[in-house]
Amino acid sequence: MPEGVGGFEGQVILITGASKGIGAHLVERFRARGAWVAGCARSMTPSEDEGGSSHAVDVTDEVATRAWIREVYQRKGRLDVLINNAGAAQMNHCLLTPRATLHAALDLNYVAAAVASREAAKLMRKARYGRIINLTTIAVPMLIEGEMAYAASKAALEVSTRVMARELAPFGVTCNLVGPCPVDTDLIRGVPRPKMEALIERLPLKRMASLEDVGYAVEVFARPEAAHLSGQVLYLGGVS
Amino acid sequence: MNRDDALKLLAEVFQEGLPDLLAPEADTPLLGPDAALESIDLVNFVADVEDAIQARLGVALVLADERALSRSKSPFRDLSALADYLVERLSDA
Repeated sequence: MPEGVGGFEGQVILITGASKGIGAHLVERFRARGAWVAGCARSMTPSEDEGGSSHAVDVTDEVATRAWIREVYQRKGRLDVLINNAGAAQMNHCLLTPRATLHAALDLNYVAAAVASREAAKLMRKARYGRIINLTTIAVPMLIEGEMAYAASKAALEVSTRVMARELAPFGVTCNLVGPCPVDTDLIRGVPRPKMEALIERLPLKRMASLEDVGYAVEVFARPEAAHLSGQVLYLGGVS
Repeated sequence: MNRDDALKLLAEVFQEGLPDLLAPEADTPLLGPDAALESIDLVNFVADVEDAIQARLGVALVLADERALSRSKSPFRDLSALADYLVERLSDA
């Protein structure tokens, strides 16, 4: 571990959508800070080393998600942080958005994260300590055209997380959200360049976020010192 | 697991998880205006029961599921009803 980087020694952190992009960055970030990190994604090859483990889990499968969380908890004896990063954006005009797309967006971006949070919180309450961090998007406050299903599903997640923050406060579990502006990941590869440039121009801080930018924001809420931060949404890019 | 075993398990879980509270009788209301528990204690109790079932029987149950919440009479209304519900769920597991 590099000198001066730490703060999560001995902690167990779960990260969904961990195979690439923001999720993969978060895995490496928290491993470098001393945590034991269990990542999951549909496509992950199961593996384990001294710094953590990888699991093939479809987070829209409630039984599989619960089994994953419980398995890690039983093996490591604790659960400190859950980061619900798994998600997918659906770009479509509202007039061309099928019902199935709306349901799929809600199922992955909201329901899956809420279920994982519920199951993690059941375990965190025993230690009266926990950090739940959900990834949202600036598409919620900016009401970005073409992202109706995605933004609405993340809006549901935002409200859900803030209610959870209140309900889980007596258990010492905090719940917060980080909303990145566009990051150069697979999620935005399908967005035409002129549209992306126009979106960046609307940001107060006129550039894409880096993975480091997102990681830093997530880490703020994950740290033990963040005990009095709950029910908050932190958008990147200067968006509020 | 039969009904008596379920009631015994519930009593043990209650005692372990909420040792400062008077253990409820089988028909003591756990919900509603006459509830013997604060709502937060009931939440803890139900989560503790799930843990105990997983630890003792190796069965993963989410007790507050659609089946429970769609009933006209809640299976969480007292220990007797919860014991019946546990037996039912475990027989299906």
